[in-house]
Amino acid sequence: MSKLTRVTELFRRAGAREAAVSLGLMAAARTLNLRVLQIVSIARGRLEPDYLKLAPEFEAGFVDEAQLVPYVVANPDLEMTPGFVRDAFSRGDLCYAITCGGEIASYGWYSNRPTEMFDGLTFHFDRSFTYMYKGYTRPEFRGKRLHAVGMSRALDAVASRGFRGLVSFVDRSNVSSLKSVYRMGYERVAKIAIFPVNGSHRIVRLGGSPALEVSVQSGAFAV
Amino acid sequence: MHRTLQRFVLVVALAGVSCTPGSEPRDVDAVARDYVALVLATGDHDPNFVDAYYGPEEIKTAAANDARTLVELREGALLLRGELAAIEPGDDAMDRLRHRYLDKQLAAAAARIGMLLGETLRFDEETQRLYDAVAPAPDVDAYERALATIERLVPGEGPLAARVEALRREFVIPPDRLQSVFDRAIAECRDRTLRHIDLPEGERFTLEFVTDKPWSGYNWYQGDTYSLIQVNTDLPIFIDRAVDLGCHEGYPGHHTYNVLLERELAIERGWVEFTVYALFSPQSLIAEGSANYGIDMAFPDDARYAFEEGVLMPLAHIPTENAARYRALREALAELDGAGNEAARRYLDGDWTRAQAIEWLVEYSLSSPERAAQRVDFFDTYRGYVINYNLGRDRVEAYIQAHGDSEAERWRAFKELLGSPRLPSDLNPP
Repeated sequence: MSKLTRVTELFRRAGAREAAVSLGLMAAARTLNLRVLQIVSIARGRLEPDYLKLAPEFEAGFVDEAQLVPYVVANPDLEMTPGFVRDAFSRGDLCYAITCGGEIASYGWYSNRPTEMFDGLTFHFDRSFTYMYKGYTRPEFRGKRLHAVGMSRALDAVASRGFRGLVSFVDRSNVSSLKSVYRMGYERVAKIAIFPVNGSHRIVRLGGSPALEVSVQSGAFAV
Repeated sequence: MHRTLQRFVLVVALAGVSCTPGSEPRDVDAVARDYVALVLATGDHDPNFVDAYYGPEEIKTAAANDARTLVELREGALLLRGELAAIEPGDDAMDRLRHRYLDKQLAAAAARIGMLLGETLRFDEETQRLYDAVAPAPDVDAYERALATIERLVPGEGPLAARVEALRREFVIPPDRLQSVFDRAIAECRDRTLRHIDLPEGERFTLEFVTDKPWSGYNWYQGDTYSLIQVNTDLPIFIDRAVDLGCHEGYPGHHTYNVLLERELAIERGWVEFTVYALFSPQSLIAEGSANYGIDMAFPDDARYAFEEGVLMPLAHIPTENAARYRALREALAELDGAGNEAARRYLDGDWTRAQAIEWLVEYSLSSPERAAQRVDFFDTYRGYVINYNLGRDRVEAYIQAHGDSEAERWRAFKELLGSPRLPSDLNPP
């Protein structure tokens, strides 16, 4: 697909305003290393009941390290390394997977403590929420809403343990992902702008709802 | 464009945004209570999983009616870990230890449940996940040196294991003397322990001799400072097992450990998770390691031999002419302690048959074929648990030795270890 076709497609799908914002932010990311993250959250009450239903050919649930590591070793296309899996489990993170005939079709990771994002930055959030990150659906299973189903079922499970909802972030320039999370019921919490200044990061929260505390901080989080 | 955009962003930053915190997640006590319920419910699927429970009756009743499947129980363990991760452990050192301990116990429970579901782990992965430790590779050269020493101690014809067994048989406690020898040994272990550790008034135990078990001794802690100690008499019991088991199962071993956990953590701090003991968990390496090293704590230097030769052997009507040779044999045999780990590792990983594992144990542990077979039965039942005895002992010894040179300092560190939620990985040298 040529660049012009992609831009035309973006305007067609997102509308002129969103497409312009997206293109502007992509340009800012390239020239200034500026990233703007849209922080979103979803409470259990906003879950779409249909997303909790699982087609009969699938099974779903939280998986353990012993299940996941050998599988990841044998399936590098899953975009997870054994080291990543071990580190995530050692922090107490959770992986919710949807399987089909014993094969992982889709997965998502969930954390209840500040979590490393990128460039040495850590995402902090209200601890009554669970942070959803690294969702992935295998190409052959896409179009079946598995990400939404897995996320909804994971939210249902963590909410049953007293958590208020899920929090996540999406690059503000990623129009299709944003549309997807809003369709699932996510709401906007805030935007966070991150850009480099003199070898470190300037991090700025841009408005949003004061009801949910989120921040991005430099450095790793250690208990 | 660069400067304009930066200025815009900085203006927004200076404007600031107020944030209000949300509601707090549940506290550690609530997670701990669910952990206890989970362990008890898992015990319904695995009869060896719950070693002891003396906590609230209502949790036990609820667990008896807990219809969760193993898949649901594992998911429950994972979710509890996730929930615990949301809770700040606080600044108090004991609170932080508790937080980590509970997390590792939950992770081990999830791993064990996975094994019950049929998932296979390699031996080292199993011990890492269940006991927070991996046994080192065998030092066959060291074993060979120990075997050469033993060869000199029991020269003659025939297999070395048989010659060793022949010498050991001179030190078998006659069955009609077992009760009196064990009573005396445990009394001595208790007396030596109470010189350094205060135990609650009324703490007590019952000693029973049993048969047809895969272990040689067991402490069934009942709560309220009471233990049922059982000794397996399937095979002849050598004189040294009296002090071994008296210390290991009683003082300052399992009985003392459980009494201190009950008093200092379960009662004084109200930490309910210490009212249950999940056998296949990191707690076991601390329990078995401290119980084994407790023998050296109670009987430092040659005190043990003096007691055995001066008191127990006469009580058992065992002649003492060969006692010095037997002592040297035991010291050399101690060098072979780790050999059992390798037998378990290779056998459970499927590299060796049962016969090969027995053969290795006969060759490198110098066990009789009968004792080697009993050992392999233990592997079948308890799997990687075997490392907790010798690796646990080594870890606890290193930890205690690093905490002081004097006897008083070492006992202080030992008591602190028994009465705190430390993990095997906390025992690693700094």
